[in-house]
Amino acid sequence: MLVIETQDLTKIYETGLKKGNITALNGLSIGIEAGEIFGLLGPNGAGKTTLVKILLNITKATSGSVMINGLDPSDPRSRARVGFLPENHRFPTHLTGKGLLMLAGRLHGMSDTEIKEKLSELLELVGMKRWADTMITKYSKGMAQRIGLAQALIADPDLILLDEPTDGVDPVGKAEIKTVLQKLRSRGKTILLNSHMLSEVEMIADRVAIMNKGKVIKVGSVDDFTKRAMRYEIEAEIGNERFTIPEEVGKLVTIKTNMMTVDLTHIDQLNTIIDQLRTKRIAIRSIQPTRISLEQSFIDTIEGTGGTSV
Amino acid sequence: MRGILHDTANELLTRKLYWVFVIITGLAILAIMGVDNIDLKFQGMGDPNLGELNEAFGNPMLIGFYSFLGFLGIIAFLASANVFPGMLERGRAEFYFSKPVTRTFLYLSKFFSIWLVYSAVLVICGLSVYMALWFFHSISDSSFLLVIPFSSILLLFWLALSAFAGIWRRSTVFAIIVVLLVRIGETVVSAIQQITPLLESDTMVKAIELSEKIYPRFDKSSDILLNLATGARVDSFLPLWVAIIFTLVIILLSIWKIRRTDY
Repeated sequence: MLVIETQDLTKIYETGLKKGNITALNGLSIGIEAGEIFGLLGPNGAGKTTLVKILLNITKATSGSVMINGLDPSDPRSRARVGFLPENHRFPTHLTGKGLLMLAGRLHGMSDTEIKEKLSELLELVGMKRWADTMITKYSKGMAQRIGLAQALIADPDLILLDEPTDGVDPVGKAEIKTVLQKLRSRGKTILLNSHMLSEVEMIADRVAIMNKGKVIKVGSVDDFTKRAMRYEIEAEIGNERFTIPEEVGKLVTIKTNMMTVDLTHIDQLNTIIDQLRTKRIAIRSIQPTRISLEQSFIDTIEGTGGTSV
Repeated sequence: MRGILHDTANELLTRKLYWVFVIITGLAILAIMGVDNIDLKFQGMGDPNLGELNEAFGNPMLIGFYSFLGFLGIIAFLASANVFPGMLERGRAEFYFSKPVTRTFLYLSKFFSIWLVYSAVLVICGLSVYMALWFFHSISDSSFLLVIPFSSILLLFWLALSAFAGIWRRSTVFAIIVVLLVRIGETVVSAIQQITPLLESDTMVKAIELSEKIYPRFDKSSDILLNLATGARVDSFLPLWVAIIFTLVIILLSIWKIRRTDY
């Protein structure tokens, strides 16, 4: 079941200047399944935040369709089971951390009793129990992010939209946020994660989309992104034997004692290599697809579309 | 509404501006305590016309009380001018608008919360001063109690205008400037009205008549409300109606603007 679905979504910001209008989203179509952690990647200005804002009706689409929880974003009920942590948030400065959670809960229509029941658990979850009665203005960036995450979770949402959740958070805090996200996934929550921190996305996302210039240019599982297409590492008892691969099969990238890396023209050609090794009575120990980091895949994808990277 | 009312009261109290209201009210009470005779009237020489003069001038103490509430209203408006620009600033608007409530609800609940909070302040300060008048000078006049809600109505007019300007430009300075310009406009229109008979210009007369129908005269509305409180005769309710309609229109325009803007 799709929790978020967009079709040909376009957003053009009218600047009113001679420079012309800015196309933030350009016919974007995307679908996010219930229960998955979906990472949205892209360079600055790719349209990630605009997409999230349209999903929450903070900004209106110029054209195209968008559904969130099966409803149009203009319907406030579509946000009833949604939690949101904005990028560069500036929560009301007259509030304490606890006050912010109370306000968020009340805006979600929760009773004070319900909010108080949830408060303790959430403050514990984000490690902010000690600072609950401190004014938000006194918080460090990392603390503000953590309390922001808590307010996003106050109404026990099924869908959580996080825009740069680890921005400004120290490594320990990042690890804690990652743990929180993993806990949320185990509870079957759907998470849309906008982040520049590609290593984090790689570790927790199920699927990833790379956006550039208002379009999704690649979408797939993290595995799809990190697996170097058709490159395999083959561990076999080659010894010092000379080994060549026909051009139609692929290319030998490296060869060391008992280890070679090959680029195949097609996945089926892996069998040809295996047959060749067996014919020569060479024992095969392992065959593994080579992997690259999501970051490298991201840079390759963006550069492939002529865009600028993060 | 409960969440926003609570939030607004919290926001306004956190600014500690309530001390300004406490100090001004305290000074007013001290002044009342320090005055021997508070029944200010034109007196002397047995001139029978002084009675008419006093009637025309009105009860100076009531006018003073009404002005005191008006002054508190000005402080309330200045103190709340940044509430909407603050709520709509980048990074904070997203917090409010991502919640399952409509923007119309957010605007109306925030606007009426500000009004309710400051109306409560006017009631507390007004009643404190009235109690002092009653206690130290045995003044017991229902007109004093009536001008308190009337001051609250006037505050609503000014708050609606400042909220509209604050939403339109998301700027506190702009909100204050717009209110000042409308206030200056009132003075200018009033001055022109005074000199129009001397100019003997039909065009000017028509322009003034038109302005009376479209330009909000909060000053005249204030006079009408004072007359209503004292039971004095009101020549025309037109300025009050224009002010009410103007306020409703700018509330609707504020809703329209907040609904259609991308944040």
